[in-house]
Amino acid sequence: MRYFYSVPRSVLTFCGFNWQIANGAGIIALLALVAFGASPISPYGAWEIAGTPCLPPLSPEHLLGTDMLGRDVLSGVIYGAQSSLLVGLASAGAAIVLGIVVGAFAGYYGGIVDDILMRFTEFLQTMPGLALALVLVAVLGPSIWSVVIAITIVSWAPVARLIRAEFLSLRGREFVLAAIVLGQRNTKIILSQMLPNALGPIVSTASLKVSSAILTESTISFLGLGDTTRMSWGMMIGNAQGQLREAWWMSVFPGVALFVTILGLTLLSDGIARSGSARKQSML
Amino acid sequence: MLEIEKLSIVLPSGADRALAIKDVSFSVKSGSTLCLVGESGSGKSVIGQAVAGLLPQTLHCLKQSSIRLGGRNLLSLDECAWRRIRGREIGMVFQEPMTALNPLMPVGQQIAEVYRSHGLRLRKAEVRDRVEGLLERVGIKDPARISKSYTFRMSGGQRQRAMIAMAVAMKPKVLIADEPTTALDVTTQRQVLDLLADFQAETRMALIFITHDFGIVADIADEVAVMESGNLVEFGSKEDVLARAQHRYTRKLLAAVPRLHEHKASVAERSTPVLEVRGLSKTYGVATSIFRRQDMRVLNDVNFKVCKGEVVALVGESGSGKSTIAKCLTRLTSIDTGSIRLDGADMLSLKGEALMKLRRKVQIVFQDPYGSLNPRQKIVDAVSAGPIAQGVASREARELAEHLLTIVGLGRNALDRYPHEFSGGQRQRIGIARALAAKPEVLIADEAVSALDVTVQAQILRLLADLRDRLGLTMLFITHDLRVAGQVSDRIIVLKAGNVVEEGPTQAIFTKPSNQYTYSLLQAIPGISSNESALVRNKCVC
Repeated sequence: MRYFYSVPRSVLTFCGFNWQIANGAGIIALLALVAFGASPISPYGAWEIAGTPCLPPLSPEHLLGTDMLGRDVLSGVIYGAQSSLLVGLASAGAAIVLGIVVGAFAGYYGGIVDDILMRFTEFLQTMPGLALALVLVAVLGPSIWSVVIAITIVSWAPVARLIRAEFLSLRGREFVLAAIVLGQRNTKIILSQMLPNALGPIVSTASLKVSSAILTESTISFLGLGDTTRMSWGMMIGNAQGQLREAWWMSVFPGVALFVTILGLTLLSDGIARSGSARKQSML
Repeated sequence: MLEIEKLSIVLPSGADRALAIKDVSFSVKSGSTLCLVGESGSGKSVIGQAVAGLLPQTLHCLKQSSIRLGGRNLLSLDECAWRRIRGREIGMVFQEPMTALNPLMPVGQQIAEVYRSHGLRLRKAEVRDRVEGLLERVGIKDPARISKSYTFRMSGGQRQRAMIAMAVAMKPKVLIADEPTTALDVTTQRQVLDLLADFQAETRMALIFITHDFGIVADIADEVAVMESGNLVEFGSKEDVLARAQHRYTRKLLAAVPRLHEHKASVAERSTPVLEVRGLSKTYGVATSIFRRQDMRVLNDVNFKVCKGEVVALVGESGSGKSTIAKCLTRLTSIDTGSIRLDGADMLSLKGEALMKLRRKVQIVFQDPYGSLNPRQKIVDAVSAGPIAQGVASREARELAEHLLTIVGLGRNALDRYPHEFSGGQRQRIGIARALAAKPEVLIADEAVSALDVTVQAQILRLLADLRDRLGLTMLFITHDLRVAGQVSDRIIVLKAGNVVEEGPTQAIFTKPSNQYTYSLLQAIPGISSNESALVRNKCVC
């Protein structure tokens, strides 16, 4: 869609020298590289029994050691990146799209439309997110897509409220009034006049959404409710928790991977928010 | 008494010029008024800030600069010494009293703070008496009530009076007033100017009055300093500067001042009414407290007609309902009773597709050149939005946009740029092109030149007059400034509190107004009230 051309370009231009964005984006790029290239990179298969069980890190041929079944921890961490990235991007993307649609309609039309959509949003927000996600996964069955759906459902509401607030303030701006007077259609006004101007805060929440989706996914897998056919960091930590004292490496390395990923996404979000506000200040 | 010598102020790197102020020297005697005049960005406010020691941290003065008050160089003072001088020896009045006053503290307390921070130990009752006396002195009618009021309960004029009361509480030797009347209505402006003059006569303070309005200069100045991009280009007595301006820039500014009685009537015939407004009324519900809502009538049975090819000015002070009329005509707000007919068709009964079709026939140009363009939309998309919404192919719409941008005085290279690359005046031209692209029957200009510098204002007014002649445009020109209305309009409609109080040909309104309110508006125009005024007498400056 050509309306969105200006947004990524302006973000890129102003991100040029921000260290937070550089580091955050670097970490995420590394993660993506590992996830996409899992099979050539990883020394063994995710589930393959590759050596003696419970080998400590820095053993020959097993850099991060093996778990209690003899599976390679490094390979597990590498394949785990796949499900983290998939769940993170898919559910955050879906939540943002859903949030934008609901928030844009509520903010633009106002009145009864706004009332109905916002009461529903608030209804969802009154429920504890993680508990609702666990129940949904239990009901939908243990597959990666039910995890994505569950996380989407519990995380779109704040996006909708954010977009609605942006739209409410944009609704009275003179360029929007001018577009109405020119006879532009409502959908066109929403897409071409208002949405590009409301996306700033969304861009910075987007990476936070991804990080919270990844965390929720690992929690679900940790509790054993996730997709048992896909390797996941949460699952690795969950399986290894009994051996934490004797074999710390089985849970610590997936934990470090999770930590670094979340750190990268948070840096990215902070950097984008900061460059956005810096731009606002320089415009004043 | 106040002597500024070789004042140079450095801008942070990356600004559009190296020095905000370059080698400026002048002095002000006690009891006299110096007007600092210039367009936005000329550095006139920076001088005011420097004198009050309020320069932003990103700016600093060069070493050889000095600002002397009673023998002391103010620039060498530390913050502690400054605190004793501000308020006591130098007072300051800002443009926007709403933001200059604390919204969470009653104004009486804010004024009392001035006494307290200058070490006056007074008893509570004494402070109250002083504050109320001061408020009464600045012309506030109910000082006891107002001193307990918060700023949002006060009118713009009351706020500015309270601000002045704060500034003069300690009887400063120098008062700096930075565009103190720009945000006010013309009649309130007159009262505030009189009040300042009155105070000055009483306390013999020196007044530095920063303004862009030569009308005010003609009324109050003893001496005039003209600033152009950081340079002091002209300094002299009011009579000299207004009548015998030496510098090219001063003459340009003076020529741009809108003048009464300088009117060129439109050539088009005026017989068929394009727009007919009958019995228009509108009421807003306003919450007066948490539990009560009060209906506020903003338009009360408004009737008027606009004929083809005619320019009608709607003039009124803030709150007179003139902008509400624009919103009603463009159907941006609902109407309680009344009818609006455009080309004989009733606008109010239409809905959906038919409304979309009719809507484009009334277009509007807004006041704020920064808010009226989508910052993320290219100029070509903004201008061609109207035609495309009407079903014109995008290639044709682009050609039309190019044509219109040329008409409003911008080149074709404007097409693929974004709004932030343009100045305020250029943006206003783009706004006009966007409105014209929809081929409107009626163009509404809602305070379209109020936010612009006087030279840019003159250019836009010329453009509108030119468009009227070339395209036979019918225009409804909404303004608070009678001088501007006098320049562009054929007829003037004067509004007061939602009622039409007078309507007539422009010449007649200016020469013999029949209504008392219109008369008072005319009297309040700066530079006009006194027949001795240099500006009026020397009509032709160039």
